[in-house]
Amino acid sequence: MSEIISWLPSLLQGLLVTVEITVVAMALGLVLGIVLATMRLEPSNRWLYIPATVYLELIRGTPLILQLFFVYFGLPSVGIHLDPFIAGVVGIGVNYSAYLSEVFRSSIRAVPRGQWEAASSLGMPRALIMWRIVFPQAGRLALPATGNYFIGLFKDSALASTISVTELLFSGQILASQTFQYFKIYGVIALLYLIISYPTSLGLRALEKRIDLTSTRRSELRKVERTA
Amino acid sequence: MMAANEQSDTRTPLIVAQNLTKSYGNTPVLHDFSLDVMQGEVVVLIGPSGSGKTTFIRTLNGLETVDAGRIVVNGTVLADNAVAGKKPHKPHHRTLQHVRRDVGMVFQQFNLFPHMSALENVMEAPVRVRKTTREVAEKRALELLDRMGLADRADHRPHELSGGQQQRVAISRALAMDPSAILFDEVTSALDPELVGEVLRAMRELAAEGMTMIVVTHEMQFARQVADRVVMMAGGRLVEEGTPQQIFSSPKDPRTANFVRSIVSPDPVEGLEQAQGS
Repeated sequence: MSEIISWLPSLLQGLLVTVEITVVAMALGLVLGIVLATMRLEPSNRWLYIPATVYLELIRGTPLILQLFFVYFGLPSVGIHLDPFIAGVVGIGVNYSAYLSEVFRSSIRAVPRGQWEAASSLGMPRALIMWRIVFPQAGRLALPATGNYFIGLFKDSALASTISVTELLFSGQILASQTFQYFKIYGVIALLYLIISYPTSLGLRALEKRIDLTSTRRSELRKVERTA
Repeated sequence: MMAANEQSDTRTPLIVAQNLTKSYGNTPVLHDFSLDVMQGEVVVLIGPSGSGKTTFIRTLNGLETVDAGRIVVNGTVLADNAVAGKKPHKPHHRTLQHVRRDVGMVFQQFNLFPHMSALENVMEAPVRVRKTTREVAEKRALELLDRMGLADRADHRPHELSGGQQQRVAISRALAMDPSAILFDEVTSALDPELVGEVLRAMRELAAEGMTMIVVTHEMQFARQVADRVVMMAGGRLVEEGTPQQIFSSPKDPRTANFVRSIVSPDPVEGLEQAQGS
């Protein structure tokens, strides 16, 4: 037990890095994903659609670990040197943006046509319709799948250990190579991943319920908020 | 702007549609269809489904384009007479927005914004498009909802409202932009029978206040009582137009007579027999 406690400082330090990678890479994936989804919304707009589609297929057709190696070991050959953390965030964020963009695209498409028509019949310009009418509804539709990818990204961040980012898994490997206590160390690491991922998935489920349009807060509450 | 409106009041129609033609592939939906609507007029379009009524009113705010013909809405040209064989230019999006801010539309499926309360639905366009202050827009929206008998539903989301209530919110939403005219596209067709009356009542009040309305409906009672003019369409053409009295009591065209009989017939079986017998 005492040896586990002695490992904790470096494992928790690693866990912090894991969480940092997850949050930053997810933010990058969300932003790029929305851009990609918007580019691919109208196939007739070829100058946007084709580059976005090439990017998407390239990313989805190759392994994440290869993409990480490419960013960290490959890019220096063309003069781009990234620090391991940045390389990890970029590699993972770019990878997830491809998958997230498909979630966003199908969610935007799933907003009924009548919503577009109603908003345009009020004279709203396209960008405003997107921002005020379509995104809020598409966001709700996209949340469950996006949440799953978020947790997936959290676990995939362990791949950053292969490009020498001292996140949770790599911190454990360093300890294991010194103590040879593989069973205990990897067991503790598994628990640490779970401590984050399980509550997160519970939280996401609660959030889904909260923003569900059909079972949300009562009108009295909205009235109180409005008149307050 | 005002001066132009006042000028147009007496002489020129508010809405001009001339020789509209449109087809989907080989299926014509509008065939040399012309209709002028004067300020304050209530025009009801009737006809069998697929006769082009809905397509027609959707061309008036640019939700549909035409292959040929001329559309002028309150002085703004939406479509110009095409050179033979050439489609009219697609209106610029600013032209479309201009017309849409001036002509409201109410849809069969309500199309309220589900993530907003009734009040927010009504306030959205005035605040975001007209740049009215929130205070003014809210006051006006509450007035409109009150007028529609929905004062106590302002903070409800659409899913918390009945179909009839949703449709009355949708009418309020259109009214909030102070439109010159409102297009009604089968607005009671998706409602349970017991909810139809409350929506028609709201529309009747609007008509009495002088709103220019173009109404696609199968509610013949409404057409009879509220319309200034009834237009019968079939196969994308104007079959016959006239006062409700003329259309319902002494239709000239046999298609009108058949249609009116089939719809007005209180007994669906009887209506069916008549249709088969003819």
